Parts: sequence; structure tokens; C-alpha cells
Amino acid sequence: MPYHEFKCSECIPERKKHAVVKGEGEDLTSCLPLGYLNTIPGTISERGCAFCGAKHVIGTPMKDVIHLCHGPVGCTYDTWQTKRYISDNDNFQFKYTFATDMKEKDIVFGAEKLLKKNIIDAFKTFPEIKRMSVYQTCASALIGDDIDAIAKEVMGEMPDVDIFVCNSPGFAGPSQSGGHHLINIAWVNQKVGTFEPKITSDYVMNYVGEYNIQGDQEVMVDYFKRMGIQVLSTFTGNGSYDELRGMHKAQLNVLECARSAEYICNELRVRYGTPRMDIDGFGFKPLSESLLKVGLFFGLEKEAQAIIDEEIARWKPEFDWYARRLKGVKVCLWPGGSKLWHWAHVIHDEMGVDVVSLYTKFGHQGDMEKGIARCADGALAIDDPNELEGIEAMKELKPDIILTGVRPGEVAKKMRVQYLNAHAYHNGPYKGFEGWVRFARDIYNAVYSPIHQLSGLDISKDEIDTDNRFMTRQMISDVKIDKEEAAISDEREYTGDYDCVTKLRGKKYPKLEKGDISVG
Amino acid sequence: MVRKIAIYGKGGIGKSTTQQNTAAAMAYFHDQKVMIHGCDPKADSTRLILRGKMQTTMMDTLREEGEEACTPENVMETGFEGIKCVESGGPEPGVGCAGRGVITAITLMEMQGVYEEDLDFVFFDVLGDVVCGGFAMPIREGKADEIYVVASGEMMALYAANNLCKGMVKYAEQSGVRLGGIICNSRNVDGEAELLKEFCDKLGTQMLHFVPRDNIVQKAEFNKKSVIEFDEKCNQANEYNELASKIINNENFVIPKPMTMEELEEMVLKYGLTD
Repeated sequence: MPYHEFKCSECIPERKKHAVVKGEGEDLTSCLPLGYLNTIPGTISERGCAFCGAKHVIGTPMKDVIHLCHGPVGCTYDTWQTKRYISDNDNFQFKYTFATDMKEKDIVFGAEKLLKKNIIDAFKTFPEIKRMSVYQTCASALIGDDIDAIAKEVMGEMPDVDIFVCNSPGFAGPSQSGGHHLINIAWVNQKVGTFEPKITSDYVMNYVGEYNIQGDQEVMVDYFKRMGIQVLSTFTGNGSYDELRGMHKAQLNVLECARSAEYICNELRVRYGTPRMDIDGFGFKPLSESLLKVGLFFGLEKEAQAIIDEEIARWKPEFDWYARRLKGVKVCLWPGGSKLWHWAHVIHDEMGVDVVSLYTKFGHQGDMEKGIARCADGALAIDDPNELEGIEAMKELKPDIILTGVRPGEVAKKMRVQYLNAHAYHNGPYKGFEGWVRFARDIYNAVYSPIHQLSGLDISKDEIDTDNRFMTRQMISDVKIDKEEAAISDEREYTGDYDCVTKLRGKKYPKLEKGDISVG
Repeated sequence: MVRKIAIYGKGGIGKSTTQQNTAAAMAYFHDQKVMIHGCDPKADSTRLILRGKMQTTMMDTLREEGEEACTPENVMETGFEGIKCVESGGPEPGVGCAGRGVITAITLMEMQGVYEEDLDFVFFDVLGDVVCGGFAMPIREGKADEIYVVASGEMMALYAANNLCKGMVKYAEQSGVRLGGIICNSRNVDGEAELLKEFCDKLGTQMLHFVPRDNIVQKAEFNKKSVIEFDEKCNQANEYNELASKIINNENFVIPKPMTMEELEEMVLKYGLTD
């Protein structure tokens, strides 16, 4: 069994079974770490809480909704903004966040009155918004405030509003993953089936487990619409509250992030018989296969293939320019959950980078199975890592870049290891064909930026050589490539726009203009 | 040095009455400087001392005027024989967190040094059942160091007292709090004193005092006074005088040895008492 023991964790023997090295010729039966267990005492986890998992990851990307957190203000601030889930309604849910800001006296006397006042105030302040999600926190859960009852009361008094209640306090699970589960089930229990959507196509799907990080959802939905498919709702990025109440009317649930949203797909299958189809929106090959799969389901293979051909012709030369220069770059793939397996093989196959380590903070055993099955030999796989183990791995593996979240990213930066934000991206979207070029470009810019050499200098004291001020990218990235071969290729740097998302809004899709065909 | 005392016991056993009469006796007969901090959300631990006045509670002050307003000047009243009175107060039953209210109230008083100021005794009068951590606040480290349990010769009172002792064992290790004895608030049933005596022996403590049943207690309560203020010469006033002096001179402090449920039932059966 190729378990890897970190020196910094020798004093915690239980940690040993949470890290493995995938040896040559080894498969899952011999190298699978333990996963999704409670954090071991003595280590400090990089995990979030179940409240954060419910609100920040899944709840708040929903766009036409007042997101109100019933708890102290810190719970709200710490689950706001950083994930960059934009929306096409001027980012309402992204710009504004709401909290009851419970204080000592609210704990002692109960905060139901405070909550009710806050709900009504928020609706009055934003009269154009008629939908709300209220999130329970540890504090309001412990004192037993009945949020459901208050929501019903307000809905009785204000007939034009609708309120969703998410009871997922921070302690409801080993990590944020517990909150993903709770909010999935809460939505299907409370809201699905309470709204009848307009059907405007013979082909109708929900897009599930997609959070519109920097526009991912809008890029993907553009492909589906070009194929003639009506995307009834997106759970939840750029998703509309009422559309999501009508999820039961779709013929297919297309599932992107299986870690955070497989629960609702499985429930919809049980309750409404809607099939679930898992796809990959990242990488030319997986994305092409995914679009074909969806096309195959609806009998729209030709339409899918046309889009794939068009997009690949447009973007492949630009992708190749970066891929040529990224070959052999060492990557630590350290995301939260599903990007572990979304990216494990494809960044190697398509960009030529070497994944030397992968980890998951809150993934389940199944995520690790997929990740290890897909990654190359020799990779160090870590479940529920901690900061010290991350530092040790970086010292040992000497990666060129870490793909991870903000906090481990800060640690990497301090160690002068480049980092890209795997959760919120740098210059996303990363999904779609163009997005994949943007991702390659971000990795390129991170790895070869001269800033990392300059950052090692103390300009107040070191002598700086005036003849050699800083390295240009040609000096750094182009030394290894075959220049003749590159010269005769049609490769070029990215030529897309800084903003590649806004122009998709308001685009016309002739195939979808059938009117409401559910009537009559 | 000020001695801090927490009074526990089954709901309705007469904790608040016993505690106020004892405090009154301490002040009146023994010239002690006494403070009462009521920790029951019902806020009825100081009324006899304040001659029926319902004082503004700390939690009401916190809710209506804010934390800054919770000063001794605003929330403390002085009653019979200069006894200082504070009530924590708390929410209506069924909402919020009364336990947190107790924690908040005691912390605020502590921050202002109230318990240390020119006092001989502080009484914490606590809710009948220690339902959560908040109601154990008075016996955490640095707060009350002596506990007295009020009981009578009925099964449920003994059961509650025994349970309190179970809880106390945990806190005794942590904070050094000790049981000073059981106070029997008599229900006038046969063999009550003997039963209580045996119960105390089993726990490893003493029956500090047997307070006989006397209607004058109720009469004084109707007049919104402690027995001592109502009629200092009556026998019951003398009983409280004695209880007060036993507490003042008490040197018998133990970590109790709680009984098992079976032992307790067996003992009660022996005395033929059922309730």
C-alpha cells in the first residue's frame, strides 16, 4: 500500500491513510486514501462549514433573490462575493448581501421578530425583487428560531413574495459538503413543482451543478441553445428562482459538478423520472464529448457536431500556442471537490502539464476514485489536507503552479510558488472552448511572469543589475520550444475579448422561438 | 472575603423563599452584607426583600437600552436590611436562550466587579433544573464556591437533588465548587427528617437544617415580606436565624457521592413514602 506519510503529520498516525502516491501500474484497488471523514483531532483542516457549503456555494449564485443570513454578520461577510458567480441581472445577488446581524440580546430573547422585520425591510428596500432565501446559522439553529414559520407568516402577509428556507447550520456535517446535500434536498422538497414554466422547445433540460463562475454558465448555455435545447433552469449559477421551481418539467438533467449537486438530480430522477447525465465542461475533448452526449440524448448530434467544429476551428490554434509552452510545467491540482477529476487528466492530455499532486478538501471517496483513476502515475493524492502538509508537499515536489483556493493560495504566494484560483478563477470563464484558452493563458501568465523573480529581490538593499532588469516571457517560456516548428504552425496568442460573456446576453436563438408549446 | 453561594433544588420546593428568608436573617440577626442574584428567567428571587417590587431585570435592560446600560446603578436595587438585589431575567418560555441570558447577566456583573464589592455573601438563586450549560454558570470556576440544595421528603425532590449532585461532581473537579449541605424544607410528612438524614449520609454530606413547615411563611409572603421582616420574634424567624448561622459557620464542604436510581428508590420505599 503506497501510503505517504508527511513528516509534519508523523505525530498524527491516523493521517497516514489520507495520502497516497499512485505508483507505476497501480490502480484504485491499491492506492485509494480514506475520504470524507470527520477532521482528525490534531490537524487543522482547510474545510469550510455546512452553512458555507449551502449558502455560499449553492444558494447565493441564484440571481433574482435576496439572500438573507439569519445570524451574526461575520457568517454573511465570509460567504459573500469571493466566488465571483456573476449574473445577467446586473449581478443583484452578488452586489448585495443581507444579514440579521444577531447580537447577544437576540440570542437570549430569540430573534424571530428581528428576522421578520429584516425580511420585510429587505423586500421594501428592493421592491423589484420578490424572492428570498433565508439561511440558518449556528446561532439561530441553537436557540431554535423557527425560520420556516416566520417565512410562512410573511408569505401570508405579502402574497406576491416567495421565500425559501435553508436550515443548514455550520455544524451539520464534516465539511461544506454536508451543506450542499441539505440545500439540494431542501430545494426539491420546498420548491420544485410549485411553478409551471413555459416550454418553448421540443428539447428541454436543466443544467445542474453549474455556478456561473465568471460566466461559465452563460458560455455553456449558449452552446445548448444553439443546438435548439431549452435550458429550463440552471441549478444555480445565473439561475432564476422561479425557473428552478419548474425543474420538474425538464426531460433531462445535465449535471456538471456531481459533488455539490448530484443529490437533487437523484431526487428528481426518483420523484419525476428525469434522467441524469454527467458531463465535463472543461477541455476540448471532454467538452466535445459532453456536447455530443447531450446531442445524442435529444437526437441533435449534427447540431452538436457543428458547434464543436466551429469552436475548435476558432480556438484550437490559440490554445496550441499556450500548450506548446506549457509542456512539462509541474502542477499541484488542489481544488475543493469536483475539479479534482474534471481537471486531473485533461490538463495533462491537452496542455501537457504534469499533475504532481492532487487533493480534495471536502470530496467524498468517489471523487478521489475518479481523480486517481484519471491522474498520471507518481502523483501524490491527499484527502482533507492541512496547511503544513501543503507546505511540505510544495517543498518536496517543487511545483511551478498551484491550482487552489484563496487561502492555500496565499500560503503558496508566500513561498513564491505561483497560484491560480481554482474556485473563482483569475481571468475566466474557464468553461467552454474559448474558456479553455483563457485558462491556458492564465496558467502561462502565472508560470512565466517575471514578477516571481522580481518578488525575490529586496529592492531596498539588493544590488540590481541594470543590464538585466527583468526576464521577458520569450527569455523564460520560449527557450524550450522548437522555434522552427512553432514558426510554421498557425498557432497564435489569445485574441478574444477581455469580456467574452456580456455579448452572449440578449443573443437571439431562432430554434427556440416557437412560443409556448406547453399550451394546447 | 465574600462567600458565593448557589441554591439549587427541584422546582417549587421553596428555593427562593428559603433563600430570601435566610439572606434576610443573615443581614438582620448577623449583620452580614448580602447580595442576591436571581438566575431564574421568571425573576422572582428578590421580591420578598424588595417588599413586592418587581425589579427591572438585566436582560430587559440589555434588550431595551443596550449593554452599556447594564450598570449596578440601573439594575441593582437595595431592599430589607441593605440587601442588594439583581435579577437576570430572560425570555418568555419557548423562545431564545434563557441559559445564555444567565451567562450574559453574570458576566456583566462580574465585569463590573459587583460580587467583590464590600460584601460578605452573594446568593445565586438558580432555576430548578440545570437544563443546559447556562444554568450551571453560577458554579463555574471563580463564581459560587458553595452549593446548598433545598429538598424535602418526597421522591421527586430527592431525585432532583441527587441529579444535581451528579452534575456537581463534574464541576467540582473543574472549579472547586463544594456541596455545603442539604436544607430540608419540610412538607410535614412522616419520617421526613430520618429519610433526609439517611439521604445526606449516603451522599456524604450533612442535613444542614430542618426547616419546619409553618403557615407564617405564606402569611409573610402575602404581605410581600420575609418572615424576619414580618415578625422577627416568631419561631420561624428563629429557624431561619439558625440556618443563617449554620451557613455562616459551616465548615463541612464535600464533593457528593450521588446514589444510583435503584439505591434511591430502595431507600425511599424503606420509609414508606410515595409521592
